[in-house]
Amino acid sequence: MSKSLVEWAKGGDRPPIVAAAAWKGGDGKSTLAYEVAYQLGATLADFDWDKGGASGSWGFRPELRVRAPMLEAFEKGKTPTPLRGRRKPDLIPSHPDFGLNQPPPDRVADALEQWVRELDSPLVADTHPGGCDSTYGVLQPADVVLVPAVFADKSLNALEGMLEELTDYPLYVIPYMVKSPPARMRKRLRDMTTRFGIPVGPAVSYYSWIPTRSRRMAISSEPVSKQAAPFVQQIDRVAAGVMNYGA
Amino acid sequence: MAPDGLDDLDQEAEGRRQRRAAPSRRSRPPKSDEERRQERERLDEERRERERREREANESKPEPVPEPTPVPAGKKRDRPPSIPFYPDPENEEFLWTVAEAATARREKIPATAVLRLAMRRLSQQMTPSEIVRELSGPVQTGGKMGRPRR
Ligand SMILES: Nc1ncnc2c1ncn2[C@@H]1O[C@H](COP(=O)(O)OP(=O)(O)OP(=O)(O)O)[C@@H](O)[C@H]1O
Ligand SMILES: [Mg+2]
Repeated sequence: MSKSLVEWAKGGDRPPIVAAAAWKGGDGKSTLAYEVAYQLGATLADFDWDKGGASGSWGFRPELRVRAPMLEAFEKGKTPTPLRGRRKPDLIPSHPDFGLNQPPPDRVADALEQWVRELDSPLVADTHPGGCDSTYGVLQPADVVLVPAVFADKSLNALEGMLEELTDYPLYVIPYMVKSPPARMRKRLRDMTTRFGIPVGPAVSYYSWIPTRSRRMAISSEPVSKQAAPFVQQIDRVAAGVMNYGA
Repeated sequence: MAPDGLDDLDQEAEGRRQRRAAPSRRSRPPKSDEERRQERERLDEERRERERREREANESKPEPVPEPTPVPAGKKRDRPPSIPFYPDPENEEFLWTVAEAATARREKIPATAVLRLAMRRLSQQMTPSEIVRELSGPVQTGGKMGRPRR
């Protein structure tokens, strides 16, 4: 990409699309996507159908809803109307049936292009872990792909495979859930990102209160609690890095 | 290249290493085990107090939930995310013609979408008790399905 998102935002031909993806599950895609979407004032589109994803954190419960916006959007080819909430990003929620009804990658890609144009706001797409049709579809039109990198051997193995497969995508590796990683692992991440020429963004630490948090609003929504301030500062930096990606 | 997250982490690690290597800058005599124990206890107590205050702060201003459908307390709230559907031959035939029509337009309409539409329409046309009246009575008289009851 030759233009940064800032430039896109000022008179680009469409608002930016940001994806969050990782080949390994549980490394922080949804949390990153949720917070960055909120920070960018973007609509969050949840392409992960599993429970425990971004739609759930938002408070969306498909079993209590008559409509399944994500499924209907693809059935009818229409841009879904995002749900709105206080202190959280606008949401295009996922649906448990989406896994079995994933459209082919090209249709997902076309749909995303259509959605950002019609919504006229940036879009952050959360994905199902690993390479599946909808994830590949989301990656196609993405201007930046947030890739959380957790300092654990299995995570780094999965990451290496992902970087290798997707070298030509605009990946943005975010060292994530960081707690004083050993030199060996820092070096490993450095080596693989250098080898594939992938930029590394600011790091986000591990916070023991995040996994047990039950509130649904964005952590970075005002007023930010004292406890959350360091996390929010780090997320701010990631959001700024996304905006300036490729600049 | 501007320093990135990894450079920061390298620097932090270096800082930790130096702090470990350097002797304490303070000239106070080393603390006794008892002093250390007391300090640990004080820190623990402070942390517990902090956590308690935060918990209370969180509880006293619960987030307003914008979702509709308040669920009666005590009821289990989770419903199965998917429900099996056993079409009769007529249903099957109809779903098939829908799928055909979709294919003609190069679209894929899953059966589950048709069902959701059907449910939506039905909910507009009939009340739950009308549906119950319509369906009650000899729904399954064939007796060919299921394990025989004792
Ligand atoms: N910075 C953090 N510090 C500590 N825990 C975190 C942090 N970010 C996320 N978590 C926790 O880690 C777990 C996984 O995070 P998350 O759901 O965002 O990952 P994911 O990659 O979307 O997972 P999945 O592959 O299941 O979709 C969650 O319990 C989350 O609360
Ligand atoms: Mg997730």
